[in-house]
Amino acid sequence: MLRTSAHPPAESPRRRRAWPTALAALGLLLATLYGGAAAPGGATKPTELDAAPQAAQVVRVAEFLAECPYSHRLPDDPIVLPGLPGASHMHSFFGSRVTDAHTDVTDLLGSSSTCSPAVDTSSYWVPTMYRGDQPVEPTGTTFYYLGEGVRDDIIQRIRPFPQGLRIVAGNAKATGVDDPTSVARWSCLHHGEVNPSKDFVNCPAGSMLESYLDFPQCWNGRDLDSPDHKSHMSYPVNGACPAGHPVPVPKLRQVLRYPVSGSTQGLRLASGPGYTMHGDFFNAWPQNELARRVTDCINVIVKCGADGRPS
Amino acid sequence: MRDVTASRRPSALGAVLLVCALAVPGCAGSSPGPSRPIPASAAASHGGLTTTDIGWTQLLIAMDDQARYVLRLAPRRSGSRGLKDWASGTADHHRAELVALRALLSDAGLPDDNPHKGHDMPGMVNAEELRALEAARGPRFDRLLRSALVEHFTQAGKLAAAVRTADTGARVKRAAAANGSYARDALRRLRSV
Repeated sequence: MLRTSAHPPAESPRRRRAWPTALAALGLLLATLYGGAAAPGGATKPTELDAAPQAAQVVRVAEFLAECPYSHRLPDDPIVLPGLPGASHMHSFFGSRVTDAHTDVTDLLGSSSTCSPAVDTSSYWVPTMYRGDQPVEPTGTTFYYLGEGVRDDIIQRIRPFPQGLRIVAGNAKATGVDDPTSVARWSCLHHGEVNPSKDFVNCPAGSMLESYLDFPQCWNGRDLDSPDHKSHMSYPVNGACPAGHPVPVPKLRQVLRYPVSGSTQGLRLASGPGYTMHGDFFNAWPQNELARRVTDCINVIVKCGADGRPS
Repeated sequence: MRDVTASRRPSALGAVLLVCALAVPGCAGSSPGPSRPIPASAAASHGGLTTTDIGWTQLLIAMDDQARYVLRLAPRRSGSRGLKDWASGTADHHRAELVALRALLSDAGLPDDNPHKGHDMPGMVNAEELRALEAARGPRFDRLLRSALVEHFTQAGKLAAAVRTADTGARVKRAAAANGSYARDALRRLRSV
């Protein structure tokens, strides 16, 4: 049930169970500590309602989202290879319909978008998945913006992304499932019994192959991009943003669901095996729309929908 | 602060503002509230190179490295004297060009990184095609070699043309122009052997 809903934080504890033993033990400990909220299967339920009667309708999770279906495919990459059309491995684009190798933030702002809400004209892209030579596009494409990952007092001072910020998550040249820089996880919709993995997993018939990817949420406060497209951003350390990247911004969680089940034979990404999954984000939210959502949903730790209102 | 509710939001925000004003690093500056965007600099130049300079240089290094590897299979596998000579001269050119391209990155203080390793890239052979080249001999190898290098030089030519109008510095513009010119010449010579 949790896995089909728009409650992505519920996925985290489940995914932790597949991590190395020490992390699994930690997850169990946390599940025990918060035993009253444990969901069937041991996953901690993060969406407990506030005890105050007047807050009964407000879910205390810092979240808003955009649903951005597949838009188009191009061998272009406006972050890594700007101005060089046809220079990249194949990408599948979501959000703005105009993204190509020449795209800058001014092209994105006000452009036509596949997103709900349509005001989100950001561009999101991933390496195209192929079964043999046939591209396979995801049919579930949710981009969550979350406060989780840092302490509550830090969530309260999360800032909107600056317009034009570019973030790359995951490692397109990861070398294997033991490569710590490979951060995306593959799992099966409705089938938590299939252990998530950094590589493709074999999903039962009727299920869908799903990819979770969390973007770094600490910004250096200065640069919209960096030479390696990563070092202006950082993941938090012990629930806080490190000194070199002191500005907390929302954590973007990309959840893609592909119409794929059964054997993973012949399945690949344009960047290689499943563990090379990565995602690119080019922020082109209108500043007022993003700021409103960060204030009303993230900072006050309230779960919102695509409209940026408490849901 | 876990008891923040919709009805209490104004006071909660007030508290956040106060905390920010007091000294939280992420709230530094004159910004009045937590949700005000922070101005940021566009990352236009890194050690004198633009993002496109870096992207083109890294891509050409990846393409040239692979092309040179394929070309160096020719002496033992090709059945054509003319093709062997062409491959030998072209491999030498790639060796020199790679030195120059790597100098571009190191002069800018950037690591010699190949962000395209293992990817299915335009202008490059994929893992399966590479295995076929490594296993082939004689006319089959020659056919595969020609196909791979036509793709390589065609892509190099397209990239050189894009660099002319892209946001690139003088050094990369010169390098790309030379590369595009060599690509046209190499293709012409390949078709004659």
